[in-house]
Amino acid sequence: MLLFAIGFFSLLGQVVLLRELTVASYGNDLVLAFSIGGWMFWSAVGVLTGRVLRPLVHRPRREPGAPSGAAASGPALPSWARRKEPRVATRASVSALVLAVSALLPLALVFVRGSHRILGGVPGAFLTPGRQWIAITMALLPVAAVLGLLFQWAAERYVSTGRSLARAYAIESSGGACGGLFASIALSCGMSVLLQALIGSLGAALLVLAERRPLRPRLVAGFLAALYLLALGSAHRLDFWLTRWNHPGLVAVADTPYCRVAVTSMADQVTVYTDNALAYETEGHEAAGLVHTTALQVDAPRRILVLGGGAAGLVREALKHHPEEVTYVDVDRRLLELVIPRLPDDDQASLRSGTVQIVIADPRRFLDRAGRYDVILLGMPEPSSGQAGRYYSREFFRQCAAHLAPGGALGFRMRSSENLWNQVQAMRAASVFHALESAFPDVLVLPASESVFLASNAPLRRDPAVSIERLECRGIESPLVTAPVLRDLYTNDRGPQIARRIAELPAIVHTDGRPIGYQLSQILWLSQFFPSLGTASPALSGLTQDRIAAGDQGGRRVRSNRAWRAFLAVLALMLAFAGSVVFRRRGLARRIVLVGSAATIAMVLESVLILRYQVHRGILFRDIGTLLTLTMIGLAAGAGGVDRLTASGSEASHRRSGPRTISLLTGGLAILAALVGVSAALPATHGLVATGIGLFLTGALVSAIFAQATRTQTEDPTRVIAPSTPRICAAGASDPSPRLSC
Amino acid sequence: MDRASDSLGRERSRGPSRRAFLRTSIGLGLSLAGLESLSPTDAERVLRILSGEAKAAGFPPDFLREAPRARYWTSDLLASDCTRCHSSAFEAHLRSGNHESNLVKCELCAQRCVLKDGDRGRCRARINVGGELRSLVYGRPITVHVDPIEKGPFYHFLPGSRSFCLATAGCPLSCKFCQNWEISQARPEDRRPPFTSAADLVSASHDRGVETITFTYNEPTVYAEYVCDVAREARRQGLRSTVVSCGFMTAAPLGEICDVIDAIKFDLKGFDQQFYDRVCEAELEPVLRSIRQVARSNVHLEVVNLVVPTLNDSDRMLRGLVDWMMGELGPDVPLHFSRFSPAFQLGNLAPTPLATLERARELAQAAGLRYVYVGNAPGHAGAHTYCPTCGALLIERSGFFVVANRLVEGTCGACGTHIPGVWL
Repeated sequence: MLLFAIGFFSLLGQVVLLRELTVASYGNDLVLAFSIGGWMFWSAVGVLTGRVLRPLVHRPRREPGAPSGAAASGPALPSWARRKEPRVATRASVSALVLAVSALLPLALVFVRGSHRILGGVPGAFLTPGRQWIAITMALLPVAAVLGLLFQWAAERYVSTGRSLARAYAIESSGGACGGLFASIALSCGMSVLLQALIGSLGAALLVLAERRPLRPRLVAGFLAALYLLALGSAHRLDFWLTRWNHPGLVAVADTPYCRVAVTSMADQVTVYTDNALAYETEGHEAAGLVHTTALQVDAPRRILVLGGGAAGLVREALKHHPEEVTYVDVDRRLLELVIPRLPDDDQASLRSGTVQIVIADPRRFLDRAGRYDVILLGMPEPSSGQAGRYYSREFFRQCAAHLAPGGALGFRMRSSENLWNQVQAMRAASVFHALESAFPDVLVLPASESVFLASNAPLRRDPAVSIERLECRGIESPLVTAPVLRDLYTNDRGPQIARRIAELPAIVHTDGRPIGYQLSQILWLSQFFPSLGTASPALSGLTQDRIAAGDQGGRRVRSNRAWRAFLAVLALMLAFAGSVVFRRRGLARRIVLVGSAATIAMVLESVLILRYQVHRGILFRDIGTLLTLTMIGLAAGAGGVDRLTASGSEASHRRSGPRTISLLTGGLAILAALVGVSAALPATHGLVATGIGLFLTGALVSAIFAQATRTQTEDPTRVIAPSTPRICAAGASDPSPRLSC
Repeated sequence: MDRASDSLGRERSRGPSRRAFLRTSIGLGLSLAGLESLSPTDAERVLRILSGEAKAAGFPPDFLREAPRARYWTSDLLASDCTRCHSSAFEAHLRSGNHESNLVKCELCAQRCVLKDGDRGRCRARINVGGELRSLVYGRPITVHVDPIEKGPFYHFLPGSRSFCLATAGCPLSCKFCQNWEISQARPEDRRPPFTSAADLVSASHDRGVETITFTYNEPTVYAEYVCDVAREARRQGLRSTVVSCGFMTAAPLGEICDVIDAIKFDLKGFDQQFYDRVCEAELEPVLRSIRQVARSNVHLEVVNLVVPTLNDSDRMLRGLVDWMMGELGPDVPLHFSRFSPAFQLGNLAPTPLATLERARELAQAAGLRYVYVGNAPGHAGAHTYCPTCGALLIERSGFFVVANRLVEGTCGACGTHIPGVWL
C-alpha cells in the first residue's frame, strides 16, 4: 500500500509542479524540459542522501532465529552487507517522510506562484536564466528529493520481508500510473492544479493517520489533514488569492485542459493571460489591423473563418465587413466560458450575433471538414511553443489553402521588430513565409512591430488605393486602420527591404516534421538574455549553403539527415554500453554503465516523444498526466515481467541467460530509439496513441534492463544508482536483500 | 590479438582499451547528434566562448582597423586623482591601487566606463585599443528608414513632415521594455554595416526628400561624434536634425550636440531612481541634468514618459514628474504620456490602460503644463494639439499622421495665442 501511495504521490506531485512551473515560465517549453530533468536529478539526489542517512535512522532487521552481528554475514551476502548488518528504515522515519511530502507539495506550489516576487523579478518579465534555474531548483528539490528517499526506504522495508525489488518497483509504478490518471481526469473535470495538490497532500496525511503506530506522526498527520480539509473548502478562493500575486486586478482564474486562464480588469481594460503569458487585452487595436488589412484584400467577403483569437476582437472587427457568416473556431471551451462574460459589451454582442457561429474544436481538425471561406484569419499565438507552432506549418497552410475560396485571403500576425529584424527573427519569418509560399501562389509581408502576413490564391493588391476605397465603401471606422495608415503600410520603405531580405535569406520551411519556426522562436527568446544568439548563422538551424545550392528548400533532406543523425547517435551510445558489457569483468562498473546508459537513453526518448507530441498536437498541458501514466505502466510492466520470469528456474540458469536477456533488451531499446528517430517524418506516429505506446515501451524496456541488472548485484546498490533515473536509482538503492545477490 | 605483460606479469590485451572504446563511442555519438551541424564559423565561435576568449582578441580586425578615435574620454587616470573614477566615499588613499597600463575612462555617457586595454564599454560601441578609445559605430548605421516626425514623437516640431531616421548598434542602458532591443542590445560587428560618411548620409537623406534627419531607435549618444558630423553637414545643406535620446549622457557631448541639432526628445522613463535601477540599469539624476541643460539651450525640447503599468504609473511618480517639469522647464515643454506596449523582456505585461494615461494627463494639466499628450493610443483625443487659451483643436492626428493642421504661422487660428514650437 505504501509503495503504491508513493508512486501515486510521486506522479501527482510531478504533474502538479511541472504544470505550475510551466505557468510560472509563461508556457515556455524549454523551461518545461529543464524542469523534467530537474525532477529526475533531485530524485536521484534524494536516493543518494538515503545512503548517507542510513546509519542515523535505520535499524537492523533481524530475521527470526537468525544470528546477530557479523555472524549474519555468510558467503551469500554482498561485500557491503558483510561489513554491516542489513538495515531498514523505521516505520516512524518512513511516516515522517510521507508527512514531509504531504507538507512540501503545497508549499512548493505556493513558492512557484510567488517565485517571481521572491526572486525579485519585474512583473511581466522573464526571470533571468540564473534566477529561473534557482526557482526550478527550489521548487523541485525538496519534493523530488524526499520522494526519492521515501521510495528507497519504503522499498527496503518491502524487500526485507523477502519479496523482490522488481515487484516493489512494479507496485510503485502502478501507483504512479494511477496518480497520472487522476491528474488527467481531474484536469479534464476542471479541477484546479491547487486542488489536486491539496487532495494529494490530504491523501498522504490520511495514509499516516491510518497507521496504528507510532503516535507522534499520527498527531502531525491529523493536524495536517484538518488543515488540508479546511483549505479544500476554500480552494477556489485560495487559488484566486495566489494567482493575484502575479496579476493585480484579477477577476477570474481557472485551469482548463490546455492552460491556466487568468482574466484581469483595470478600469475599462480587460486582459486575458494564458499560462501567465499575455494573450490579449481589449483596449488595443491590433485585431482591427489584422482583420481589415486582410479582409480589404477581398472584394466582398461573405464567409469569414476565424481560427483562434475571436474573443480578442477578430470577430468584432470581422463583422464590420458585413459578412453573411463568421465561423469562429477555438479549442478551449472553458476559456471562452470564462472570458466572454467579462468582455466589453460590444465584444460580447459581436460573439452573440446571429451571424457568428462558435465552434469548439481544434482548428486543424475543424479544417478537415470545413467548407470554403473568403477570408481566413489566424488569431493564434506566435510559434514560440510547440502548441502554437502547429499553426504556422506548411501542412496547416495547405489545409487553409484548400478551404480558401477563389480570390480569398488568409492573414495572420507575427511579432517582429519594426526597425530592424535580427538574423533569427528574419529566419523565423522566412521559414513561415516559405511555408506560406508552398501553399499559396501569392504571399505578402507588411512589416511592423507585429508584421502582417497575407496570402492568397489570387494576386494580392499592393496598391493601397484599392484597400482605401473598400475601407470607405464599407464604412469601416477604426483608429488604427485609416487611409493614411494604409497608405503608409503599403508604401513605406520597410516592405521592400523585408521582401528582399526574406528572398535572400536561406531558410528551412516550417513544417510539421521540422517546426523550425518553433526552434527559432526559442533561440529568439534566449537571445533576449544573450543578444549574440540573435546573430546565429543559418548553419545553427541545420541549413548550410551547399544544401541551399542543392535546392534543399523543402527541408525534407535536412530533416531526414537529422533523423539519421539522431538514430546513429543513439546507436553509438548503445554501442558504448554494449561494449562495456563485453569488455568489463567487474560487476559494479558494468551495471553502472548499463543502467546509466539505459536510463539516459530512456530519458532522451521520453523527452523527444513528449516534446514531439507537444509540437504536433499542442495539448501537452492536458495530456501530460496520461503520457506519464503510460510511462509508469510501462515501467511497472517491465519490472514486473522480469520479476515473474526470474521467479522460476535456478539461479545458475538465470546467470547463464542474463547476458543474453540484457542484450535482447538493450537491442530492443536501440531499435525503439531508431524507430523514434525515423518516425519523425511520419505525422501519423505523433498522436496520443503512438506516443503513448512509445512511452510505454521505453518505460518497459528500461525497467526490465534495470530489474535484470540488479538481479545479480553483489555490491552496495546505492553505488549503481547515481547514473540512472530516480525511480530506477531508488529501486537499486533500496535493495539490501541477500536474495538478490549472487 | 597481441598480448603483453603488465608490471605484475599478468597478461593484458593490446586491443582497443575499454576507456578508448567508450570515449570514441560517446564522442561519435555527440558529434553525430549535433556538433556536425555547426559550420566552421559557429564551431569557432563556440570554442572562443568556451575558452573565454573574447573582447578585442575575437574581434573582426577590419572593424578595429577602421574604427576612428573617439572623443570624450581620458587616459591620464594614473596621473589624476582617484575621485575621477571612484566615488568620494571610496577611501583611495588607504588602498594601494595597482592600475594596469593603457587604462581609459569613457566620459561620453553617465556610465563612465573605465576600460582596460581590449575592453568595451557598457554600450558595446566603444573599445579601448592600446590605451586609445575608438568608436566602433562611427559611420556605421545598421538601419535607416523614413518615418513621420510624429513617430519620435515630435508634436511641436515640423508636424506632418517626414524624417530620415537612422541608428547604429549599442546603448548604455538595458531597458527591459526596449522596443528596439535588436538594435540597442546588438554589437556593432553583429551586422557589419558598411561605412557611410556624414556627407553620403546627408546626400541619401536629400534623395528621399525629407525635411529632417533623426538620430533614433537606439541611444544616439553612443555615436555622438557621428551625430555631430552628420548634423553639421545637414545644416550646411539646409536640413534640420533631431535627436531621440534617453538623456543619459554627460554635459560635454550634450553641449556639442546642442550646438548642431535643432530638436531633442528625451525619454524620462520614470521619476524614480529605483525604477531606473531595476528596469533600465541606469540612473535618474543624469537624465534630469540633461533635460535641464537642453531646456537652457536654444534647442526645441519635448519629453516623453512611457507609462508602464505597475512599474512607474503610481500617482507619486507621475505627480513628481509633472511637478519637476513644471518647476524646472516651465509650462510650455510638450509632455507625452506614451502607452506601454509589451516588448523585449517585458513581453507579458499588459499594455497601459487608457484610464491610467488619462489620469496622468489630467495630473499634468492640473499642475499647469499646457501641452500634454497621450501617445501610442490611436484615435485618442489626447493625441491632438489644442490651444491652451481657447481650447480650439489645432492639430488633428490619426496615429502618426497629421490629418488637419489649423495653426496659422504658429498661432491659434481662433484666438491668436502663440503656440511654442517649430512650425512649417
